Amino acid sequence: MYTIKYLIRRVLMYLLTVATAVVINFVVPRLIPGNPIQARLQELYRLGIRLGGEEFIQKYSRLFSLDQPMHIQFVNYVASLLQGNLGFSISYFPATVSDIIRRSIPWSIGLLGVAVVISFVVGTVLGAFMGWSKREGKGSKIGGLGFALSVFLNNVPFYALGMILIYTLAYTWPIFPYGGGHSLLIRLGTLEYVIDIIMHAFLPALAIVLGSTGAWAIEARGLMIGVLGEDYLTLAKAKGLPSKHIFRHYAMKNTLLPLFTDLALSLSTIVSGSIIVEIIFSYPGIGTVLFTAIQSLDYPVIQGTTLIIILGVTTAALIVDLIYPLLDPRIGEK
Amino acid sequence: MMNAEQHPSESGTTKGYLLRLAKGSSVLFENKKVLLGLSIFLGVYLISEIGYRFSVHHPTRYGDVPMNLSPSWEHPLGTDPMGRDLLTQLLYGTRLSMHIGIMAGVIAFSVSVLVAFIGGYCGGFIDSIFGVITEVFLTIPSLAILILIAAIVPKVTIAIMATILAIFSWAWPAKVMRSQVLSLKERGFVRLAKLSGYSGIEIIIREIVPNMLPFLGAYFAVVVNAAMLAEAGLEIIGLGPQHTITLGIMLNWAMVHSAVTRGLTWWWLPPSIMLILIFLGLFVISMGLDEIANPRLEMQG
Repeated sequence: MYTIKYLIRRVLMYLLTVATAVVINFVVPRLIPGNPIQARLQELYRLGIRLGGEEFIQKYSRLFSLDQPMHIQFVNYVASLLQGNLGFSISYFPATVSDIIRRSIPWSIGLLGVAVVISFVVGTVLGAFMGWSKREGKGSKIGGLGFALSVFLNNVPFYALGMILIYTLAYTWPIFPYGGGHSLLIRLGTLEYVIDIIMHAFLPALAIVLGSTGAWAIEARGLMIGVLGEDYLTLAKAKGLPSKHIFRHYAMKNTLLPLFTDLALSLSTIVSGSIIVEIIFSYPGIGTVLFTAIQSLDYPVIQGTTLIIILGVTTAALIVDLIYPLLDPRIGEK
Repeated sequence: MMNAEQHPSESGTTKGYLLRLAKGSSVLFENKKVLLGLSIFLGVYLISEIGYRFSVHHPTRYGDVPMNLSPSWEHPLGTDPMGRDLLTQLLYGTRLSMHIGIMAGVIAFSVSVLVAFIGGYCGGFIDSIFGVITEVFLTIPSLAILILIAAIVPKVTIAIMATILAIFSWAWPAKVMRSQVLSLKERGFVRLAKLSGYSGIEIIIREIVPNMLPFLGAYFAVVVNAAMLAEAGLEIIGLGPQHTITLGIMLNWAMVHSAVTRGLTWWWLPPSIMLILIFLGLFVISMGLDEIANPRLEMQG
């Protein structure tokens, strides 16, 4: 169980991070001189794209009170955020940013959730075995090979993996679709639909899994080797406990625990990578929404999605950090 | 050994100090991983830097060569639909990508060193403030904010790109280096220096920095790695510097023209391989330097 101090500290940290994100999201667009919306629309106009028009400018300016002093703008901005109001999309005008995000976010969470859990479990177990195989002071060949492979995979960016997977498993051997989230003409809720969804999610998920498993394996291997030198392992061995039992109950447990804090910290990196994976596979998640918005200069959508991504990651990190002390009682007491 | 605690009097003179630094750097090259990583990284850099000078084509001018050619002797990697030689783009792009990455790395590294040393050495209120800022930057997914910044900056130049990348690459090394400074601070030779009346800055430069050299090197590699990863990520989605070519921008063009699903392997695979080699080189360098800084790691192989 954690102490009150730990809990307060962690939640305060979370609120501070969220506040920073909100401030950045407020300040950055206002760094460009003039009304940000007007500037964007003028730019679009020059490119020959007419969207929303006067109605949009008025609505948006009133909504975010862009004609008012900064501090009032900020208060209004926070107030509308608290109501879940992120403004309107330029490209899909009557649609609100929240609508667009609400439609895309289940795809992202599904893809990421599955990929992160699989890579964490697989990577940790493989890494632990690689470390365990060095317990007599000499490494096994398979352990060494696994380590080299992990180092290699750890350095192949998600998007490169994505491209290689599309090229091999969709283009050369057309087993999986090139991209997208589902086929167009398919009935919702049928078994076919489920299979279709899985087929479409397989390659992007695999890219994320392959790209992050190596990192977990390297991490777990290092921790396991550290654990191997601990006195309690020597004691367990001296007591004559079977090797399997020592691995499971002593070594693995102590390897696994510190990895949870790493999970919280690496979420931001994984999410950054998966944004690009989604784009490469035109997966209908939030990353692709962001990409389309960048291309059409749909500024409110860019702003809204980045804010939601930051909120999602920091909240997930908070949850991991609050679960962790329940698993490892030593942490909360520190 | 670098890690051996040294008496402050040894570093009394500038000559002695330089000697210690030189001794420290020679250790670096005895490590196999450092050598391997450096050869990959410098190899890629030299090939692109020299190769680009031998290229007769222009990396970015439209219609410089015939369009959409498959690989041939004349154009070993073919040409793109805008009529540009892809090999020239690859060499030029690798070079520029590395320049941007190193520039961003230098900026970010300076920030993280300042944060780590000032925070770690002074402690107290400054340290808590620095710690909180570091933590905030660690949890925020940097790409999201980078996208936000890059999307509104009207004209991204190379210097702006490097600065943007630096803002989000300093936090992790700052955190690790700070704890290293904290542990060194308590060591005997630093206390001795303190008793001998050296000032804070003197102690940092004379005693702590030389003992952290391999560690600092490792984290410089980490910073450059992080910056280049973010750089390529931004460029692939079309948010890089304009009117030029880097590896990420090349991949962006390849993606826009569906090079992967049209089987134009020579377009998207070479820049991907270059990026992988660069990341691998930097990673192996940092692994090797980490081993030197922390000899216990060496048994990990």
